[in-house]
Parts: sequence; structure tokens; C-alpha cells
Amino acid sequence: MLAQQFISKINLNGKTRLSCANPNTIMVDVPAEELQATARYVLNELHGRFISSAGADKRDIAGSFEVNQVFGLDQDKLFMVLRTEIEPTQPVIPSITPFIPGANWAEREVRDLIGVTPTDHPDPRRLVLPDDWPEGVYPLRRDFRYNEHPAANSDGRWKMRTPPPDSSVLPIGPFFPTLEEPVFINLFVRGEKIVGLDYRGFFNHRGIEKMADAELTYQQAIYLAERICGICGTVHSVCYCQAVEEAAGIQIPERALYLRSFYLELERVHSHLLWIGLACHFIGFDTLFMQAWRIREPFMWLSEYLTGARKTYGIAAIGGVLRDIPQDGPERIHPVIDRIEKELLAVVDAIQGDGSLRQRLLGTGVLSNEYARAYCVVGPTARGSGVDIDARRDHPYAAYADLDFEVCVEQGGDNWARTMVRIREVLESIKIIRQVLVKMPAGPIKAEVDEIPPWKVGVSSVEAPRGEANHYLLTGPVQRAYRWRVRAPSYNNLQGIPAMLQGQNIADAPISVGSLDPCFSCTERMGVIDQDSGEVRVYRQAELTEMFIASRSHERRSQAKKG
Amino acid sequence: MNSRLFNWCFKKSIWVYHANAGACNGCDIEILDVLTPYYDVERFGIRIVHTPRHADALLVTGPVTRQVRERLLRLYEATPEPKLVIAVGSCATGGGIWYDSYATCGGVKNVLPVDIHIPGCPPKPEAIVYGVAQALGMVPKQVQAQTYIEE
Amino acid sequence: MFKHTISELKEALVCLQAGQVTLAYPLQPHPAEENFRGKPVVDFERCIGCGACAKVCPPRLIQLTDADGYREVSYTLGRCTYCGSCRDVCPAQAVQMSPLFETATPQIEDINISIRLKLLTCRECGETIATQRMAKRVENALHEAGYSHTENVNLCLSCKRKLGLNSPAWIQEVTR
Repeated sequence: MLAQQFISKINLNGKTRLSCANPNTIMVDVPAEELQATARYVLNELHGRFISSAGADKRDIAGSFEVNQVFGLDQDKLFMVLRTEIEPTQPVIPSITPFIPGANWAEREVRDLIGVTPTDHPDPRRLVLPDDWPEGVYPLRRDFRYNEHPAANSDGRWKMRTPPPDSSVLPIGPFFPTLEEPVFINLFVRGEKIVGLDYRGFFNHRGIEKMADAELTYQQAIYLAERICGICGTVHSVCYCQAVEEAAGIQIPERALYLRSFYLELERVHSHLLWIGLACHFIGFDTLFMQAWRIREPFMWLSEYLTGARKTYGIAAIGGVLRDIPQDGPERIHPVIDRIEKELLAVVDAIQGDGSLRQRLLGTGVLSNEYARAYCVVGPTARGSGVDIDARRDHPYAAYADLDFEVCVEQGGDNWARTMVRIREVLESIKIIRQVLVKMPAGPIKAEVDEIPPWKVGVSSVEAPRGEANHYLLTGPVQRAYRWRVRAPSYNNLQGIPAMLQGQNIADAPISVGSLDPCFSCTERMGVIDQDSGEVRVYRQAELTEMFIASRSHERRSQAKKG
Repeated sequence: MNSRLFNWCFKKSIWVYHANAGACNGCDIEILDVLTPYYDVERFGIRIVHTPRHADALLVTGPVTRQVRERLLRLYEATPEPKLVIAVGSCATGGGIWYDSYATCGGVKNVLPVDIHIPGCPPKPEAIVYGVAQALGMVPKQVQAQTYIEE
Repeated sequence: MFKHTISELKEALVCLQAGQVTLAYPLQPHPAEENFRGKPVVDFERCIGCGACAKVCPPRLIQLTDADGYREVSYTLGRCTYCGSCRDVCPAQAVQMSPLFETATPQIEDINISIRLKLLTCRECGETIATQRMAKRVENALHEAGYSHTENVNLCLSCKRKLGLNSPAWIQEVTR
């Protein structure tokens, strides 16, 4: 349903004003005192799903700060943005985290980067800026230059939450032996059970959003978007282009839509195969790690042939795509995807009866349906817990409205369920690629783009391999974005970790966190600090695996005794 | 560093510790790819170790964000001599697309002494193998700065 | 238990069927695919020093500096993202993405490129207009389009205005 029609259905009183930013996005101008009530209305009456928050400094043009809360109305295929003006003299906003736990990080990030503080927020600590960043300096304010380096605040230290009583603290990171990003997790453990955790991430905060609104042009920012994530390059660059196109009302040629779907599914296949390998690596099953990546490698060579690079395809452009696939592309594509499908099915068949794999994955890392909804998780993390959302179907983009595919949902909520979702998605992606190659029409691949008009809002979602990536964009007056907010899927998914790990064994932590397929995962080597005695014990992966096996046999023996 | 001692120590295989100093992960995945069957760098005795204490070389990716800088320095100090620092990827070799951002240090060379730079965004697994082989003196450098002045 | 053994056998079969796939690289070359975007290379004879590449480069690694009668176009390729924008936009097809990926080096300055092109200065006031090659290109384009009046290519815009050489009347005159 178009936004204009939808507005007539909404019943909001008070000083709230509704308007359409574009056919897919409804703007709701809400004064701060009505924000919480309106958010509740969107959540409960309109069945909205919280996506992200974007703060902006509009003091130069409107005399105020602005905070936008983006919601997805999945059943109606629309986005709804609650836009609130904030007085610069009193930069506070009522927090929606108390009833939308998934908004926790989004509100803290607005406080870090713009300086608008959410009141009654359960955890008002710094989130994204470095520990030594001085207080009171907000990078996304217009008066901060993107390449300034303010002097370090030597007293700046991250403060860990108080652990529950009788628990030890198990610090993990920031440098991990196994791949991925630096991140600092403190697990609170009693014996082998995890009773809580505290997380300090954002070690990769690179100032991306500031660069796009202060220094780079629309075209340069495409390449910035492509390098946000090491796998979802096309996802973010296409999502950014889509947001600009939504804002400026640019129509894309049909062939370009199909090509975008093609490149996005290409990414999904290699990403999921990568994950399958990594997940096995985390649980010590290196055979399957090597085999999964062996199966995946010809796909990387294919990507290099089709796009010019293995990972940074560089094909997204505002108005379409930059490069078509070579003439003989399909000749090379079909044998590769046929082979991957055949080999993947052989592997899946082989592991179905694998007892150790099932023991590690079944029943571990359980994220219930309720928690999945409360923390607004997305992607296979949500679909593994029975939450039926997929941006390709709920907010159709590229050519997905014309393509036939299944949204893979499992009910288990455990690591096995998420594994099955991803395996099924690889097979679905291969089907989609075949459809695209048949249905793709001839024609131009890029629309002519004039100057982008200023002060237009565009919101776009793309289903990354990890879940929904959402970009909010406000166009500016000098041919660059005025505000660009990137919400990657892992941003929401990582907030679900505490719920997932509660009551789990330490040895299950790596695979449980890894099953989110975040852009990081846990260690194989951890130090345990006994809070009282100060004694440090160090576990290696082999020891952890032994501990796991011992704990499982202990559980089986006690079950046998009971039964 | 004493060149003869250096060459003697690295005659055999080197053990590598991989450190992501704020990278997007692209380079990290290609580094991991180098261990997988098609490239199999373990043929040369090169393996990834899980602590800097065992490492002969640090493979650093990322532009070194402001948040990670102190930890990277501690990691470097924890690695015993003799050691190599290999910067992998355009972010590590030159700061990448955000070389002048408020949140980054502009590349590993601004934080640690780098022995070999491996450019790429991300560098192909073959390029990483070539770079490590070059650090061990097995293959020659292929690039040279180019200048041209119009007559 | 039996199911598990069957599963293990199947996994072993997957590995055995795959066989040995390791490439002989670096002992044997493994060149990149045809369309691979490797290190940018510049054909020095073609470059005209227009700076279009500098405007589109996302890591802004291309700098134009005018000094001592020369324009220097310098590429600090250490931070290149291999996007190919420079190649796509170059009007003289001077920049290409080579297939070179074995670019490791102890000094990152080894992959830099520096091009110095002669500047053209205004015959009236001495201000820098552009590079001589750019002027030559404009001249050639004018000739090809059938205009013979190319003698004012070496005048800067303000001098042209002062001499009345780009008023609407004059333009009409020369394009008749």
C-alpha cells in the first residue's frame, strides 16, 4: 500500500503531523512529549518493528537538533519515521528503550555522536566513541570537522557493569585468535554457566557517517559504503544508492534491478558458505571449515571474472549499476552454481547424522521468539527463532517483487535452527540466480542522474546475509548527504547476545555468538579471573572442547540416573 | 634490526598472529582464505598462532582506529623479538578511504614500524602469499615508484 | 551411533572426492581474471592533467599541484581502493587498471606515481590556465568541429572578457 493511502488509516491525536517523504516512507513529526505514546502506538496498533535511530544537527538550518526513529511496517511494506525536533539548549529526548529493548544502542549512539541524551535510559554509558574521546565533543555536529583529532582524555576508561553476585568475570578480547574484529566481551560466569555479560564493541568506529556528510560526494560515498563490511559490500552500496534514489525520486531501468538482485544473491551464497566454514571452525570441526571454503572458492573466482574484484565488486551506482555482466557470463555462472549446489547438498547430507555436530548445535544458544522480537533482531537470527521477516519480501527492492523465492524460517531458536536457515538460504539463492539469468530483460543499466535535490528523505532496506541492513538518508544542499545513517544487521543482532547466552555453558559461547554471523566472534583462548582470589586460569581450545564433552557426558549420566 | 640474525631466524617457517586493528573484515577473510585448500599456506610451514607470544610476525589489517591503537601497541610489545610487522590491505598500508577521519590513525605505519606492506582492497589471497614470501626473501619486489616529467 | 559412523564416512567421502586442489602458487603463476582491477597504471603520454580522476577518487589519493611551470599529478596508491573510478572518468583513457596484484613492498612509496606536465600561462597576464596538453586537446577538438579560430586558447577567462572575446555577439560571429 502506498504511504499516502496508509496515512488516512492512522489515528494520531495531539500535535503529531503526518506526511509522505516518498511512496514508501511516512514522516511523523512528533513533539518530544508525545514521542513515547506515539512509539507505543506504532509498536502495538500498527505492528511496527523498530529499525534504527538517526540524530541530525540542524541548528544551522532549523535552529534545532533532530532525532528520527525509523520503524518498519512490514505487513504494509512501508517505513515510518518518527521525527522529533530537540531544543539545542536542552538536548534531551524521552527514551523508548524501556519498552523497546532493541533501541538501546541506537539511542546511545545518538547521544555519543550528536549529544542528545535519552532520559531514563537503562544503560547510558558511551557506546561508539573511543574511550579516550573527550566529553562534550560530538563528531556528527556540523561544527566538528571530520578530520579533527581532539586531544585524548587520559581519564577516559570503559566501566564494566557490576557482575551478579558469586560470579567470576571472563574477559574476552579485544584481540582474538580466531579472525574477525576486535571486541571486548566480559562473560559473567558461575562455574561453567554464563549468568550475564557485558560488551564493549565499536573498535572499528571509523567515522563513516561523518565522512559522507562532510567530505565525500554522493558518488564517492558509494565506495565508502562498500567498505563498511568485509562481506556485505554490495549490500551497503546498493542500499545507499537506493536511499538516494528514494529521496530523489530516481527510476531505475529494469535490467539494473535484476542485476542488483543478481549481485546481491551472489554475495549471499559466498557469505553463507563462509559462515558454515567459520561456524565449524569455532566448534573445532576444521574438516568442514576447509571443505566449505573449498566449495566457496570457485565462486570468488567467478565474482572476480564478472565484476573485476573478489569482494569489492564496485558495481553499485546511483541510478542503476555501473557494469553489466560479460556476454559469456551465464556460460561460466551455471556450471559454478550447479557444482556448488551439488557439493553443498552432499555436505548437508553427510552432516545430518553427525552426532557431535548435533550435540554442539542442537539446544545451544537458544534465543526465544519473545526475545527475538523484543531486541528487534533480524535475518537468520530472527528467522531461526520463528520470526518471519525478510526485507526482500517485506520491503521489496531490486527485482525481488518479480522473483519467486521462499523465506526460510525455523522454529528451534537454537544454533542448529540458524544453521539450517542459512543452508536453505544458499539453495534458495541459487534458485534466485537461475531465475534472474532467465528473466533479466535487455536494456540500459543506469538512469541519467541530474543534481540530487536537497532536503529529501530516503529510507531503504536490503536483506544482507546477516539480516536487514537499513539506511536513512537526508539529502543536502551541496551534492552530498546531509545525514546518512547506516544500521547494519549485526547492530541489532548483537544486542540479543545476553538473552542468548544466559544459562549457557562457556564452551557454547563461541558458536552461539558465531551463529549470529556477526562481524566478529569469540575466542578460543580465554583467561578466567577469580574475582575473590585474583587467580587467573587460562583455557585453550582443546581444554574447552574436553570440558564440553565432559559436561555433556555428565549431563547424559545424570539424565540416565533420573530416567 | 641485525640483517643476518633476521635472515637466519626466518630461514624456516614463520608463525603469524593476525590482528584486526579496526578493519572491515575483507582483508581478514582473505587472510583466512590463505589457509584453505586452494592456497594452503601451511605448505610453507606458515601457520596462524593464537597468541602474540608465539608469533614471528604480526599480520595487521585495518587503519588502526583510535580505540584500538593502545591495544595494538600492547600486542606489539607482547610479541618477542625478532618480529615482523606485515600490513595487509589499503587501510593498513595507507589508511584507506578514511585515512584522515577523526576516528583513525591513518594506517599501521603511523603506529608501528612496518616491514612489508601488502596493498589491496582486499588483497587477493595470492597477493598476501606473495607478500609474506617476499618478507622471507623468496620472491622479488615488483613495484617501483614512477616519475615522469614532460619534455 | 551407527548413524554417526555413516555420517563420518560420508564426510570422508566428500573430502576424498574433492581430492587435492591446492594451486602451485607462488611456484607457478596464477594470473588474475580478465576484468580484474589491479594497480592503476598511467600512460604518461596520454595524461593531460585535467584532474577528473582527482575529483572522483574516493580515498582522494590523487593530488594536483601547480608549481614552477609544471602541474604535478601525484597518485598516493597506498590507500587505493581499486574501484576503477579514475579509469572510468579519464577523458584521455590514460588511466588503466592493470592486472598487477603482486604489489607487496617494504616502502609503500614504491607504488606511487608522479606526473609533471607543462602548464600553459595566459599570454596577456601570465595566470595559469591549464596544462599545455589540455589546451592542445581543446584546440584539436575545435579544429575537428570546424572552427578555425583557435588562437585564443592561450588566454585566460578574465583576459578574454577584457578583450570582449566571449561576449554573445562575438560567439555568434565565430560560430556563423
